[in-house]
Amino acid sequence: MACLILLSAACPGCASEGAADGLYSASPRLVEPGDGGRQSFALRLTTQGMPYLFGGFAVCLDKAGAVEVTGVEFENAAGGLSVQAFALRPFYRGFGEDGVGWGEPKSLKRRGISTALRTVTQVCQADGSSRVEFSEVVLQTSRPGAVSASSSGFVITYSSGGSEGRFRVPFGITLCAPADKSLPLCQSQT
Amino acid sequence: MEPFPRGWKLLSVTTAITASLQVTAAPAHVDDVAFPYSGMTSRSVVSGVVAADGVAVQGADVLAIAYPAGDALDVPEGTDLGTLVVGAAGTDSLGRFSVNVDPSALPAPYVDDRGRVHLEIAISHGDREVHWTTTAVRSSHATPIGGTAERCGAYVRRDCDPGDPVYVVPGMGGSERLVVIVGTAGGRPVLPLWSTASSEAAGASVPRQLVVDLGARPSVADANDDPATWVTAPAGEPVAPVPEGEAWAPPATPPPAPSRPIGAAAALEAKLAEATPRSPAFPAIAAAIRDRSLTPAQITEGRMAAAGRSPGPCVSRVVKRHNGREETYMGVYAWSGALATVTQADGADHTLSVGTGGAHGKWSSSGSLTLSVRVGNSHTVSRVADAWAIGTVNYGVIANSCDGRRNLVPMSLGDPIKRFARAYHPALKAQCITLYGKSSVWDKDQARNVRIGGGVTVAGFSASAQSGYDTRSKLSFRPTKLTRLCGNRSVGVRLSSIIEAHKG
Repeated sequence: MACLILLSAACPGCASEGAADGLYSASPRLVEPGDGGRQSFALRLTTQGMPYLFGGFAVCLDKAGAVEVTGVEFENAAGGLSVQAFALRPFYRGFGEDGVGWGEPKSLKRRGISTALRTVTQVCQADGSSRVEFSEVVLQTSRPGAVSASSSGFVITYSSGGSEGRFRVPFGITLCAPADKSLPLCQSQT
Repeated sequence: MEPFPRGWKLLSVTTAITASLQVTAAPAHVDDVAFPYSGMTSRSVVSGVVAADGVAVQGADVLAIAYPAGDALDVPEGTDLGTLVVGAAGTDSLGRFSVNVDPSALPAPYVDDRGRVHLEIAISHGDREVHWTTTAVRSSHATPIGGTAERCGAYVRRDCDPGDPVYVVPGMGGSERLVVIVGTAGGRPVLPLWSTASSEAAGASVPRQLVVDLGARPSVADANDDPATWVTAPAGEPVAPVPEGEAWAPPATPPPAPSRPIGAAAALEAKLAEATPRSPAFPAIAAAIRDRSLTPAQITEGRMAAAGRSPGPCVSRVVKRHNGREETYMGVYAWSGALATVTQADGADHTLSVGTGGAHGKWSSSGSLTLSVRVGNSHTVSRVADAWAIGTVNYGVIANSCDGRRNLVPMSLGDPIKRFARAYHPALKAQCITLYGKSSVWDKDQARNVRIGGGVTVAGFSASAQSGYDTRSKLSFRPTKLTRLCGNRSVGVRLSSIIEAHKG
């Protein structure tokens, strides 16, 4: 205790010690069931205005309960990239062949995926557990202009236990325009 | 990677340790002065639990001895490293300790340009002592520990002496749980100033957590790194990147064996520690406390380094260099329609095992150090398929002048991509994503690679190696033909630690 009193006066990390306890609230948090790191995916040939689907993003809750997803937005969006629609699909087994890929040139509607579900109740399970459950996030987006469009990731906002949460998925998406090679991932093959 | 297993495994470890609530009292020493105990504070650089044959040990002593960092560690044979005691702690009645180090008290040679410090942790009780080596990195995530955090599991509170309470810290960017086995001082939440490279990659800041046993089979286990998850890296013949314009085809010769977990026996072996006699470093610090040239307050504040204390009369000298040892650290699985590009830029992290002992040529594993690719050694290689990436590392044998104990320590990295050796291409099916030829581009960084047991062999010691997919380390695919990119986890390619590309 004496040490903490001294520290609060001496070290910058101690200044907010008392304020950070909210992380451990009784309400569940939305997380990814693993460490995916930062990833970037680009489609080097895209058609302006064409909807593209990006799925295979598993999310789950860190404890039992339910959260209501209120929105999904791209982070650092450029070239007009926006989330046109999103869907949540519960899984109680591994993806196998059933996840949505990256850059499927379809709309959610044409793919037959409902956008009605907004709740996540699946709880993260230990790797290797016989029980598997998660919710797949599927995004629909498009390149609205003649220039290439990109993002550095997407942010899911949700409500849980009366408060709002945000969860960032660091998966960047780039949709290249044929005449615009300005973005790094839109440049030559090598 | 996985939601809870590390926490649960730790619980099983601590449960085994705590089968008895009996506490072993420290035997009397003429030099014995109790080192102060404090719960975890923001300055905790390493904490944990000490037991003897599963029984909590009260009054064990712990020292944190800093090695020079960065280029200052990479010294020639014959050089005295000039180690410095930067922290000390004693264990409480439940065997818990927490060593505090104030970063501002560390002199320049002991901190690298990213604020990291290499520490040899000496744990002693009675006449026995074990050592563990680790690199403490500065925290970058606002991850509070303590307060009303869940204890002893994700959802339940239960008695888990002697490490009680066990906090389970969710990763901020993922769901991997990291455990903290020592309670915070006063029960208040703290924001750690220190962390580990692997915790940072998991999205949380948690200082090293050790479970130490000084009994008949001495062992030290990192509560957040189970060697059972390490994998083998059977390498075949040397292979080269495919020249531009040429097609790649698998060699006609049989491939090497697949990569597999190292197995229970090897995992147990990795936890066993070499016990040595109590070193003079402990009575030297005890004497300083006794004559009040060092105060318990200085110790709990983590300001021992400011007093400039060498570890007693002992000198740690580099007596032998083993330069240019090959380090196998990453499997690259591709095909002719989607060859891979591997990047190891300046500053890319590699974590490499440290060996202790050396008696009769036998080394035991005793922690690891995290080193970085040097400025000017950045390396990118394209058009790679079915290969282990192999770099080089320079090890040194450091001898202690008092007790003759030797450490085999990684001192610097050489060429991060020296060559490639053939690897078995695993058939992964947990989830696959289609990549379109001449259209899709996929890059991955900022995640951890799998840890490879026996990634380096040096002086008869089999050291583990792990590279981070941090911002300076990257794996990329730019397929020219329809490709299936597959991962090893059922929760998707994005969250898989092993990725392979094959014909779509």
